[in-house]
Amino acid sequence: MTTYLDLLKAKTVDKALDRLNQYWVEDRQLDYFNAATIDEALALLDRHEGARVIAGGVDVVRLLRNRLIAPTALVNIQAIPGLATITEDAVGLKIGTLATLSDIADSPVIKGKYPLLAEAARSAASPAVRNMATIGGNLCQQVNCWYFRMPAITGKTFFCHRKGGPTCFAVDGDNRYHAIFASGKCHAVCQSDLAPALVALDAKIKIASTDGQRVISVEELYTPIGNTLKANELITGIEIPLPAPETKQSFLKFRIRKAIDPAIVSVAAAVTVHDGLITDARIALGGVAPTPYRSLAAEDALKGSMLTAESAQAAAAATVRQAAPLSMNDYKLAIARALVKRAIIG
Amino acid sequence: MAEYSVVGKSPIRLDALDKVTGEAKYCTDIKVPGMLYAKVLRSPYPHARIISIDTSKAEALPGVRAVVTGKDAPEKRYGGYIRDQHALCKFIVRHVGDAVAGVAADTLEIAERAVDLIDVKYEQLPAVYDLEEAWGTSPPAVVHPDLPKYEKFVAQGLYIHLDNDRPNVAHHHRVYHGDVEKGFKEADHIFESKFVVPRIQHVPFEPHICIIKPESNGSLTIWAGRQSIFRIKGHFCAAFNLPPSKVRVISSFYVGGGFGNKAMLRAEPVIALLAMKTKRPVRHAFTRDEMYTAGGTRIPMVVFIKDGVKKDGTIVAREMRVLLGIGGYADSGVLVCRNSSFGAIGTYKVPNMKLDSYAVYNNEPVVTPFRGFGSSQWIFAIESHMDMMAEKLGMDAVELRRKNVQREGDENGNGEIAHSHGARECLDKVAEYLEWGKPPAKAEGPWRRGKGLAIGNKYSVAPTSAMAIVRFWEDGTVEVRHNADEIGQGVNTAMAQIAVEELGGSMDKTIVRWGDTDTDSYFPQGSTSQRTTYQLGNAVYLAAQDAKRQIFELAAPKLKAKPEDLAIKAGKVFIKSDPSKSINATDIFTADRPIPPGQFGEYVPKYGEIIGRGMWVQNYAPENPDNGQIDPALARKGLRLVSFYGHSCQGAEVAVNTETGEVKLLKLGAASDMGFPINPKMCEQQMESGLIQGIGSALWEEVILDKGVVLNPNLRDYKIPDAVNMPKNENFKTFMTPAPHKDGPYGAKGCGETQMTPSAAVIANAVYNAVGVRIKQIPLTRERILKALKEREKSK
Repeated sequence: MTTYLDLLKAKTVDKALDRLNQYWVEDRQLDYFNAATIDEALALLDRHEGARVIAGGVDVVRLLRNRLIAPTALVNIQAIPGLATITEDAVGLKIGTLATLSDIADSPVIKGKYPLLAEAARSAASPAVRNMATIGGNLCQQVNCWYFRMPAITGKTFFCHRKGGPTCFAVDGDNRYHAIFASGKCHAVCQSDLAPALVALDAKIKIASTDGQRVISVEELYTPIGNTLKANELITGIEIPLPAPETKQSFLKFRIRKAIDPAIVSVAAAVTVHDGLITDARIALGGVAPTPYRSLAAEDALKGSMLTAESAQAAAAATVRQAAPLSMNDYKLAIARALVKRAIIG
Repeated sequence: MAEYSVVGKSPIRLDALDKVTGEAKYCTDIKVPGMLYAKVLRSPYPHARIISIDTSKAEALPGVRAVVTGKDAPEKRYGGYIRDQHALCKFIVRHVGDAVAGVAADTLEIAERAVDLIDVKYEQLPAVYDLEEAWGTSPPAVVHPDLPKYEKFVAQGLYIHLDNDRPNVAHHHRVYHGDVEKGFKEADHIFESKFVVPRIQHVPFEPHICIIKPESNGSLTIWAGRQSIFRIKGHFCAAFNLPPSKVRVISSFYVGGGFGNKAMLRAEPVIALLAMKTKRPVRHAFTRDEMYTAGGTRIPMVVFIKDGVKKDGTIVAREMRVLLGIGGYADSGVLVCRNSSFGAIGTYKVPNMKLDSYAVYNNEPVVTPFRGFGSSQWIFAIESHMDMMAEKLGMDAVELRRKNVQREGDENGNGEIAHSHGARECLDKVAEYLEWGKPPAKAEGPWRRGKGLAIGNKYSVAPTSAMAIVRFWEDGTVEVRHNADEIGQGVNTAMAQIAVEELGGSMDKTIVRWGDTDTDSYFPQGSTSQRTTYQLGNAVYLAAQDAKRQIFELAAPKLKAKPEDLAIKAGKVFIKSDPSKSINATDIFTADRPIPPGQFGEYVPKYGEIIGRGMWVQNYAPENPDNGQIDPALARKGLRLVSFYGHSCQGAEVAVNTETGEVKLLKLGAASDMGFPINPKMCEQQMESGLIQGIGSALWEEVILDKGVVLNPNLRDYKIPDAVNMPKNENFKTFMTPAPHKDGPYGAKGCGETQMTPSAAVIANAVYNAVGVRIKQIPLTRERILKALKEREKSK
């Protein structure tokens, strides 16, 4: 059985496109499995090469409809018991991978001790989407670059870098919403609101496969053109350490309309202040890079300084110093600066 | 003003219950036995030659019933005003989304798969996108090399003027009034500017949909969620060379929004080919992304404006050159090219005027009518320019407008004599609401506050006509039959109000039937050009008079009076001079013999049924095609080029964030001069919705193109306004300042389109007032505002 990835191994763009088109007109089968346990889900992922996990289905269904993925099977994990829980203990918080964004936004524990996460979840999409979308799915969502996402049904496919092609169409095209920090060739932006929030909270991601378990940081999940999950792996949960006392948290999302829209720039900040002195700071941005973007420069500018408008301003300036905006998106620098400052000083 | 019992009030809309319970039927609810599903294959290229089309694999797919290509399309081209389009492309595709082939299959899924199996070989051709380039004398591509040979159609006052030097110009419209050169010589100041308005989409909640069924007698029945079923029928008959009796268009259900988007043929020609080939009913519905690429958009424009002004602010000359990007096919674009000039004519007294507008083909998506029919784009430029001039003259922006605004009896740029002109009153109302003259609240952090306002106008076209039928039932129910389209504006309620008013009925005993070209009354242009209240309202009024005459003739012998001495009110027919002498209106049906209780009359001796017919014809004074002027003698007689002008003024207070470019709407207001509000609540809804839609165009909406490809064909990336961003309650007010029209029913005229015309300039003017940067291109995005702030900073 041909997998989608095989199709991309063509030598020329035209050939790849031909093969893609050919693929979609052939008869093909899409199996669907309801997993009852994590072990069963992992076994199914092992057994079916090219299988894909589906939970809330918010992004997967859209990708399928627009022919951006071509799985051989869907493994539904929605019915696995115990994966949607939010629990707290002395060291921190555990969130099951199936917890929805609404669950997170409404959780009294999260609103009380991890307010920036609650705010990030509340800011995402619309109520209907938040009721369906899971935290695991939110972290794994594909980018929303309009070249990458162009629905194949329009007859137009942009065979871009993220699809294995040679170019990023945003560079010479309309890049008003694209990345100002890109470490690779792709200039799409990570659209997850939770990812920068979790980076700022120093969260860890628990991943399982039939080979065992591993735990990684949120930053380690992402690569410039995708994520580090293997085909047979499944995110089972998120763990967040209890923030140090006197940590000021803030999540700000700048977008075009107040509801529904993705971030032009979002900023998650966790700043620990002791007697006016900043002892620790974690600053992460969304909407500016293909991954959540942690600004070590901003953090360095803050640590050891007094919490003042000047230090916030310095951190804001440091945040975008390394930015490389494209032809149409340097306005994002001004917005990022304003937001970082506001997130730190209010 | 006369006392009315039903009109001028806001009874509950007749469709309210059905709509809130989900009972309301739309075209998508129609299922015809044996119905097939269609999908259209669209071009991925902006400009290309079709080398070959291989449909064999698609035809072999089980469940596929027919595949059609350009070979199946009639040789004759179709089109509203220039016949430039084949039902399916035969040789050349002219925009991304152009229709290349169609499939009808047992299910939509099969049709979608079959479309993939069609193998089209294209040879790509050079394409032209930029409007000024396309307009040039040697453009990079000529979209229709055979344009001079195409059939042109003179209608609605439109005469096509090609331009021998500019091969992509589909029409050059001219309005020359007075002597513009002399005017500029008299001026103390001359100001010039250029404005850019992008392509936007209507985003009706219901995308285009149709079902076409071949009947056994050789005719075709078309169910379609459209605006103006008679126009659809007319254009369709022309496309397929069919006589009027062979095509029936039905829209006797609710239409999920139009805003002009549904006024012209869309997929109907392709679906008809499939229906004729399969001899079965075929259904087709646009997807949301197809709406942007092939569903029709508003016309992008580049507007050059030059004004000559006296020191005291009197405008003595105005010259405008406007380029309209009409995409791959003319559709209504050539008519918009003419009619949008009214936007420059309907508001101000300008003794010397020269307007040149050009409809320009390029390789971008098709355009179609849009609420405002082009006036909004011109008015964005004019009303921005008014504020810019006021500042340079050191005059208040409201004063400058007051000085130049037309009043009753003034001559306008077409040589018409202004009538029913409420712009001044609208302006005063909004200025008062905004507390004009009082400076806005002080800056807070990065936020700066500003106020802005603008005046708009929108005509309704002439010549035109409307017919309606009013039936008076045996139980006193009043029925209206009409052929406007119920697109959400509430036409059924308003028309019922008029008939009930005239026949002394009650709103809970009404029936409205509408939307069928075979059975009901002729209304050639349907719910477009904000005409229904005025045109159809007159027809319903006249039909009610006809019914009333019949009632009085039957009642007269019973009351031993003459018919002309009778009146009808609250279910009673009575003698005007002695209201105590009355009978129940329903008694006219219980003619001469006793009827058992609870049973209504079996017959009416004289007429059988009480059915009144009404017809309203809007006369007009034609223009000279070379200069847009009407005969002064006809003008003096009160004849006009258009049916009427509606006017409105809107204002806003905004806050602009100097760090992020964000625009917050703090306060919105709108005033309109609808003549007489037949249903004030629905007028208010039009005023609010027009302003909100206009704000969408001012702040957020833009169909973003990259070499002819729409990059944001979805509701996520194409951003329409939402409730969350709108001010509420006392911060969002509407005002009615009626300017009665002598020819309108009860003095009423339409108001749906007028409401969107000033909105974009309102926001641009308010942003300028707040932060001092003039944005001449909408939408006023954060990036444009930040860039302008940055540039101003540099220049300091």
